[in-house]
Amino acid sequence: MMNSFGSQLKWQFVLLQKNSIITISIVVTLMYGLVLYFLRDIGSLDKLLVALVLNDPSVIGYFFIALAIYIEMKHQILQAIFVTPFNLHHLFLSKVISVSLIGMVCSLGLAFSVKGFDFNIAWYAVGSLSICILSSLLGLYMLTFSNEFLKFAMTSIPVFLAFVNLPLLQYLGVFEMGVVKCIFPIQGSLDLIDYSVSGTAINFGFAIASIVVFIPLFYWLAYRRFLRKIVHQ
Amino acid sequence: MVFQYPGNEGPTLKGLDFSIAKGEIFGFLGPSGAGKSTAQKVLYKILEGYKGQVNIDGKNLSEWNNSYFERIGVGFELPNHYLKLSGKENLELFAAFYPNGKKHYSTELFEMVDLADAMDKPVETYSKGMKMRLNFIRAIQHDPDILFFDEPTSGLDPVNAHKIKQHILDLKNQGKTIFVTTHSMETADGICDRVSFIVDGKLVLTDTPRNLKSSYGKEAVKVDLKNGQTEEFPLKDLGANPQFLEFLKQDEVKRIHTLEATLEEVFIRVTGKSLGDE
Repeated sequence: MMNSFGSQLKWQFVLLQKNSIITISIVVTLMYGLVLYFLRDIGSLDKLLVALVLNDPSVIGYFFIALAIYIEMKHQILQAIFVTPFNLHHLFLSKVISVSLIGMVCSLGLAFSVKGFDFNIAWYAVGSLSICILSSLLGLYMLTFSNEFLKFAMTSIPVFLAFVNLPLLQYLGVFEMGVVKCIFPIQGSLDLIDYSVSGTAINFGFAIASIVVFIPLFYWLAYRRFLRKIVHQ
Repeated sequence: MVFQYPGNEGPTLKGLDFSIAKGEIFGFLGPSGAGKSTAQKVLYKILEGYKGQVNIDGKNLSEWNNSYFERIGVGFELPNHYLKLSGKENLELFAAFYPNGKKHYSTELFEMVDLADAMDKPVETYSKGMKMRLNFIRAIQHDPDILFFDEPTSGLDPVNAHKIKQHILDLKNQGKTIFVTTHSMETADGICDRVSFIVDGKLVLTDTPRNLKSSYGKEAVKVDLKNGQTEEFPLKDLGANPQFLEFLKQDEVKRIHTLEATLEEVFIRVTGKSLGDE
């Protein structure tokens, strides 16, 4: 018999599919992938690929997880869940993992369209999965500040820009922040993706350490706030 | 029990004191906004920060761990389901939260509330009454000992409302303890062993519906004849009352009924408020 977590993970995928989230993600990725595929002869698209990978899966993670929770809030389904012997860690992890796996698969699709199999798939997958996990946890944290999706989307703009685009601008060379970049939660993942697609020399120790530190930290912050503001409202 | 919502000026529940016996159907009867649902939410641990003491099976509510939720079932006032999932999928998804899953077969549950034909259809195609019936079977699918029903007949047509009331009585016969909140006098009268009148967060009166109706009504019958004559007679020794027997001989009886008060009349007399008041 499938255990509680496995069964909840299955249901999260079912919900994502029934709400067309998986279909939308695949269609958007296909569109990006096609554009990249036809542009690949005009020169190196590594920077554009990294920029897309930072934005597309992180949007999937951040907004789609929030959207799923807002649907549950709007229809008062969370209230019904909260009177069952549910395990919030299982619920949290099943939502984060399902959305993040979709984001990772989409980002792999983007990379395949530009690089074929000529990139380090394993490190790339680790990097993109970590970005999705971090962005979905950030989405879970941020949604506790707004009771409707539109408000959440508005308050998210500066947060999301800082979360994704500051590291991206630094990566694109718009500005140089030196060691300060280490405080960017997605910097480790970004380095792994950069290494995977361009072969750039990176500090693996930092990249792994950054992921290992920031994912549990984000999880802890999101879990505590969700417990206080949503479960025990 | 005292409870105040954060940000509110005063408490919503102003010192409720009541007990429910095992196997009893107990009802809170009161108008909207009286605190009925809030009291239930405290009991099924959605709301925290209450003052006072709540004991379930002799154990303080705050000391119960997650196993408490295996013992309770909650039927909410409004439908709350995943609309894109079918009714059956909704039950299966919620069953996954229970360590032992559901204890009743889905098909039996859907047949019980006449939803068998719709169990594989998306809930978004259900009417409100169908969604309410789905609420009901979701609350009981894991075979809980204690059940909370918030306005269990709300949104149901008279036939289905009657069926749900009968199912609640069946649950009582199986030994379940049931706490119902309602502003429907018929529901309270039809299923509750005892009811409490709740107004503005306070319990005004608690008793059996029968006692309440007889205490506040007349121990008499009213007889209407076809010729338009009407008269009241005391119930005591009615069969030996010569005036009563003589009255019946005057014409065909159109109607004869007791003069006990309805629960709603009792409620209005005791509280000075109507059950429809906001």
